[in-house]
Amino acid sequence: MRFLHCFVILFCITVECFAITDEVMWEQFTFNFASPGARANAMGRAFVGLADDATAAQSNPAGLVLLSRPEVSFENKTTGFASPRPAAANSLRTGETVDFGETINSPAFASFVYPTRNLRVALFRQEFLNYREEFRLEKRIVPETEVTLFQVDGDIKLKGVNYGAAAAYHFSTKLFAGFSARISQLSVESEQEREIRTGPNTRIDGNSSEFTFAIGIIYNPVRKVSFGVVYERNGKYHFEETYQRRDGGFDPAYSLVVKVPDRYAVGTAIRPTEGLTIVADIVKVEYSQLSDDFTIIFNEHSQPDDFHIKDATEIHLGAEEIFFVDSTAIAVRGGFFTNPPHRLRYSGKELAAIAAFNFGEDSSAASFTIGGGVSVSNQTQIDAAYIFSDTFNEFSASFVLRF
Amino acid sequence: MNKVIKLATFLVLVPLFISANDLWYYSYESGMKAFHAGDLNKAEFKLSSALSAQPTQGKRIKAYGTKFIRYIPDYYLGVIYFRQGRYQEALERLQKAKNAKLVTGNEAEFEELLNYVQLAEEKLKPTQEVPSENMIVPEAIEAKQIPLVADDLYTSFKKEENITVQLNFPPVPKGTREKPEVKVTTDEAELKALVAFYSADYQRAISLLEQVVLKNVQSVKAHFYLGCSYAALALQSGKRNELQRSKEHFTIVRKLNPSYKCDSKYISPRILQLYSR
Repeated sequence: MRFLHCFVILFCITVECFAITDEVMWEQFTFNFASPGARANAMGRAFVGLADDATAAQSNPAGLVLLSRPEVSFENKTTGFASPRPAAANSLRTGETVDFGETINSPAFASFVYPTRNLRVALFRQEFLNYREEFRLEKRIVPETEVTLFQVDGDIKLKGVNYGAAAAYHFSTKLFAGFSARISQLSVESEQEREIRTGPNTRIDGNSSEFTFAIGIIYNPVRKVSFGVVYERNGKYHFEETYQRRDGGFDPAYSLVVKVPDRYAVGTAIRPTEGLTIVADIVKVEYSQLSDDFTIIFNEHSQPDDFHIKDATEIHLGAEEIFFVDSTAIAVRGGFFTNPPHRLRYSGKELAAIAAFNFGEDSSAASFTIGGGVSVSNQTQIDAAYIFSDTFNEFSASFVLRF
Repeated sequence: MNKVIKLATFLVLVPLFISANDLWYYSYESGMKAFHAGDLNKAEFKLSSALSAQPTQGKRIKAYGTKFIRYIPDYYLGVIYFRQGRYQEALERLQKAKNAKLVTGNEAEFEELLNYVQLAEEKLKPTQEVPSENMIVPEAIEAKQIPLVADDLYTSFKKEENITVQLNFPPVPKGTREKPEVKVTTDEAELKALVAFYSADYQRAISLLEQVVLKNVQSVKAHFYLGCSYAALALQSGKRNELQRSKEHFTIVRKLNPSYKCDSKYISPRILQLYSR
């Protein structure tokens, strides 16, 4: 056989998948979860220690305590993804990549906050993930072998939405706590077709909902300094993956679970002057949960433990300066955040898997953010933010109306 | 899942059993509401709470997010103290507000601030000590005409209606601590009612003014202040019957004297709004 197909499908085993698999779509895929609010995004996505607008319902529910008036907010995002994949025939040798990923425009966040006595309640909807990609990988030659991988045409659509309610209250003027309960929904549509429909094809098409929650605390030892802590428990989403054999027949559907990583964060906000606010967060994202109980479909000589994703610790820094022109407040914001590598990696011995999953360097990338806003008479506020990143560029605009 | 639901329920129920102090800008906003409703005691409490939590005052103080508020509790506390007859404290607060330029020339309150400062200074002149009805009048000033609490306010009414008012306290022997008995005439009752009204003691004001109205049903001023007192209580408590009483008295005022000039300087705009309806 001129083209040796190195991947063997394990038809004979009833496979229960508990996490992502060694399917080609996960090779270079990186999860990037969205943060709500143009204001927070413009400040390097550092908002855990500040959390003083309606997006606190998602980022740190304790911050809702700070809101003294009912308010409605809405945010729209346009995100252009650039997922580099080794797509050309000799790309695994040369390191050459092609950027895939589409530009998505969507309503990313909406909320309503209502303060009553010392309790604050909020209802919100947030898109935590919205990703689309179509890609074609040619018959790629595995370096130092005669092995060639299947040509693959892939199509991925991932969308995650939180529908939540949050409550927050203050124990004292210095200590606040908040809780948000959410019905989180993840929908996955993915299809990988091999060798012009003659190869083994896989397909996931479904929606899954889970109860998730976030809990947060804010402590203000003095007015000009605040600290925040938040823990976000995300869901395990259940899907079925259909598998088409090369002879055209279908195997029974496999169950598949995608665990969206949990998140811990600590942050601080400092106000050296009345108009200036400096924020910093450290966020730990347990990306390794994505590879827990990894399921092998293709690389039959490997063990599940050979596939892994590292947890990531992100650093977020940002600042906001507000000045006035007559009675209009104008805000200028900027910041950056690190995006440590969290791709699926392989530590086994199969050369094809090494070439595909260990492609490229693991380096931490910095993303930069800028933005601004206008607030008129403390009642209406419009903000915008732009994020420059290696793997995505994002423009978001949000509108807040206070009653 | 059950644990999470229990935790969520617990966290939502906790606020029902916790009574925490308000954040400074909550206190300030509710203090301002009370001030405009004429509830001076509540306003004083709330504004003082705000000031102790947030001593930095200014025309644009950050509350949260991009929300900045005009935060000048010293000025309003000064006005409250003045209306309560606490002239020394009023003067201190008002001077502080003036020196810190919390209220400046281009603002509506600036002229009022200057007036209050001037009036408070006059009140504090040594020859113008103010006895209240609970004070024992020393023999040395028994025979003197006693200046009135809030008499700056009353001066305008005296001028308006050409009334001469004098409180005559009976002589009290040295060393006795008994409250002097005061024979209350209609004018005196009306005067005391005004003092009570401007001290935010609306119940007492109503009680005295009802006496005045019983004796002189044509007293425009008594009806006006009865309307104001009921309106102030209605704004505080939200009770409809007090609002109704307020409207009744205001209607009488309009019938008796359609061109009646009221005190638009010291009476809450919300009350005047009710009157003008």
